[in-house]
Amino acid sequence: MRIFKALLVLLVVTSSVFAQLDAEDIKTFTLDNGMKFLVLEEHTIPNVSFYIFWKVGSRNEVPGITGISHFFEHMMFNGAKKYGKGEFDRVMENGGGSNNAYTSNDVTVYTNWVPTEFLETMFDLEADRIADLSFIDEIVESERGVIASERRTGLENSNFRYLYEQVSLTAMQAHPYRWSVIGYESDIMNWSKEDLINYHKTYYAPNNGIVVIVGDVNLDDVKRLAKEYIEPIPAQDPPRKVHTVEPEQLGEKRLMVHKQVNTPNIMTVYHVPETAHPDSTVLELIDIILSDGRTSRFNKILVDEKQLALNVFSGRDFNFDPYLYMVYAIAAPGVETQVLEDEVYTILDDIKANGVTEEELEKAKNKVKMSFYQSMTTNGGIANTIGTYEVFYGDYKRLFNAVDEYSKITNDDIKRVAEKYFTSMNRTVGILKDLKATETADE
Amino acid sequence: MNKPKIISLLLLIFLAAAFSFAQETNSGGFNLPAYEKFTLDNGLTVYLMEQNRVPLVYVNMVINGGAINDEIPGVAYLAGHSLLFGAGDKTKNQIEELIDYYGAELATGCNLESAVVDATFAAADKQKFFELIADVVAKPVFDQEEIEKYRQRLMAQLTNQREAPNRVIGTFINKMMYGDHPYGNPVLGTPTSLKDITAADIKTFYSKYYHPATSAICVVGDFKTDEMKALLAETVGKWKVDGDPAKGNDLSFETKPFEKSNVLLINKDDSRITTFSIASWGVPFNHEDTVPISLVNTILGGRFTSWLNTELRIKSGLTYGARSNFASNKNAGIFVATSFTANATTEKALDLAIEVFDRLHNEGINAETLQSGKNYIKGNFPRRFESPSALAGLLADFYVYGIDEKYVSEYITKLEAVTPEDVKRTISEHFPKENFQFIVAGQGDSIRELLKKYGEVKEIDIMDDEYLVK
Repeated sequence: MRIFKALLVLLVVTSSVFAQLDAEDIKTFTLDNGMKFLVLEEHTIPNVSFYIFWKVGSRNEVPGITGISHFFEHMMFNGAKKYGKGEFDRVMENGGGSNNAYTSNDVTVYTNWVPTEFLETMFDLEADRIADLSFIDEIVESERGVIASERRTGLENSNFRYLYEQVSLTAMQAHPYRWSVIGYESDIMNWSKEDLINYHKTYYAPNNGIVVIVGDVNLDDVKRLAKEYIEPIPAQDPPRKVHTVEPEQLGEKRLMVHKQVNTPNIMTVYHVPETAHPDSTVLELIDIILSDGRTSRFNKILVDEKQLALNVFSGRDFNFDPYLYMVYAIAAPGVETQVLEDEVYTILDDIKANGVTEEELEKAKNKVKMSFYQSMTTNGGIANTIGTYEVFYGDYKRLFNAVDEYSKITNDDIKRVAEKYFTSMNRTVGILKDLKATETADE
Repeated sequence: MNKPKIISLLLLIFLAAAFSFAQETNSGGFNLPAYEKFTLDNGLTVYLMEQNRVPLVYVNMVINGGAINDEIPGVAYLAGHSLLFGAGDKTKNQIEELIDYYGAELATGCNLESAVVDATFAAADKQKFFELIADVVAKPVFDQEEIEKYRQRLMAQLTNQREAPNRVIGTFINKMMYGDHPYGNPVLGTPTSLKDITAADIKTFYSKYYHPATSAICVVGDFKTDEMKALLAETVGKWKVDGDPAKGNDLSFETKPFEKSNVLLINKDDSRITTFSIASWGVPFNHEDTVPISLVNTILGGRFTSWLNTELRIKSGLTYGARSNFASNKNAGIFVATSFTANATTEKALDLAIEVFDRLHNEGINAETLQSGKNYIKGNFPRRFESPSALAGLLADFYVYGIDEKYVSEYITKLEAVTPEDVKRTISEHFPKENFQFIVAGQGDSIRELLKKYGEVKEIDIMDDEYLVK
């Protein structure tokens, strides 16, 4: 095994980004009910990462049921037909496994990590909750409390979340991306059982999910188990498309948010296209140049040289539809938010007018390569990365061409994309500060 | 094969021992990838572990310059962090450009017990990064202006941090429990303590404590051991310091059982949730009861279906999560159960947690639950040592705590051997039954009165720095 691996390294090191992992190592098959499987045999540890990506997130919601996708992230653990209340976790943990899940605006991902010998039970557990999830009133009520708790602590302990919720609501007027993934408190307290049942049937249908299995498995076993446990689950009609298109923003939007903070925070967001759009790749590179590393533009100028900010973050998520690119900065003591804000725009304007240096471009491309490698050091990291690519680009193989794609980006591409999206008409600006202190001062 | 069976078998056993691949599932034993430990001429301890899943190298270096040796809180951290502010013939800017250009990561700082240098870079770039690490550790310039700039920033960040109780409660817990012992030192210092620290303080600390003889460098990744040995010898192996390193603060510790319950109320006026911890004395790292303690703790508060999480989250919906763990340093440790809840349900949540502790002592753990706990730990065990960064961190722990791979390879065997009697004794000796120490951050006006029933209450404000440096 060891000798073979060494040869493999020699053979592919010149032809692929990943000396140790190749696109051909990942096998795929699709069941009759439409559920696609990506499988990578990986025998470093006697463990399997079994992830399911469901194409459902807060963008699939409507007012009245906001937060319901995230609620399912909880409900999927609360009992089904074969494995009743609490059994999913009890059986998993007793079997030496553990799990988690996350919900975004676009997807809900269930992440399971189980010992090799638990694979069949894993299929059984998943099949049960996909096909026959329970909706018991008292459990629903209890889970509402948990989610309200989650929302409360998130907002209290994270200025970023607190501000982002408001900025997103302001920047987006029509599209469901506008509300936060966790939902409005009043909706959380009021979803009905009918809401839940319908939502589950539509979105947790096998044709709407992708399974990614990375670890100590055998492809034939996986196929056999998939056919046995998952294939009997019937497909459903495809979910309704999210057809709302966010209308073009007609001018800069600004908002103030009160919170008892020591120094103000600012957040500027710009409308940007969906992840799969070619401009998004260029934007990714610009983002690295702006805030990845100590010598990135924001860190170097705002934090280090001018000391206007204590921290700066920027970026955007993986999205099916056009959404937002975000710049978030925490002001240093005594710094006026307008000064900090203006400096952010000076930096962006520089890139629009002049692009970036050769060195910055090289640097960013090196970072892209390094972060791909870093995401591949564990079974779970690999599963998450190839699953994400499959879902948002429609093809996991794109991951293996990604570095080549980034390497083709030129300074002209950078200027073009910066000019197109970083405009004042396209931005929404949120300021988080202690407004009551200001009020008192004005009296 | 024509070779006699016996010889092939011996060869196989020899190979298995030499290469210790982490693929064995026979007896449930888990083995780390093979590694080598040795000392360079300058006294620096080295751990090397090949792992070529990705073409990267992960470095974790530990130096006896942790916050336990602070006289003024924050000096150790500033010393560690400032290593990158110019070293050898490179300015701060040149160092930063080098790191970023190659897509690498390099961070320096400290935790309670050690100063730390963490790096990740491409295998192809190892020459230049080991040269850089050697410079940073051996020849830091301690640029006064940069230190001053960073100090200001750190003070502001620490002040801001008090806006989020869950981020700072750990520092208050340590101080409340350890008091004047160095383990109670706030690692990053406080805005007040940082105010008067000078570059001279930092240089003095560095000269006293940074020495290859009390340091180790752990390297995990895509390299050949022989080549790496040579590379390290010519880079970090050249770090020479005259004289011996300073001994550091006295860390001897004698557990003094608490004679009553105490409550530290950390008031935050606008809090809508109460973040609380219930603490008692734990055990030092690698205590002989580590394995049964871990088993009981897993059941009590160390997994999703734990008793604490079941009562406070699953059954009552009072919180998003409740957990417990043993935080262990070399000579002492503490046990902490932590959760949070809305202001209005503070009392209910605290009472539930205490009920769970009572149940642990009064009813014990049945055979089925014990087995489930063992299964859980065993099944998840390999994942703790999957990534190269986790492995590098583990090797650093080997050095700091004076242990070796037996800590890992014997773990599951010890776990499987834990008996119900062991469990009973472990609960009785190591898990709190009374005289709890409560650390509660929340809105004083809402919870001040109800907290009195849990013990003698001392109240401070969340912005209070004095408490952390007394």
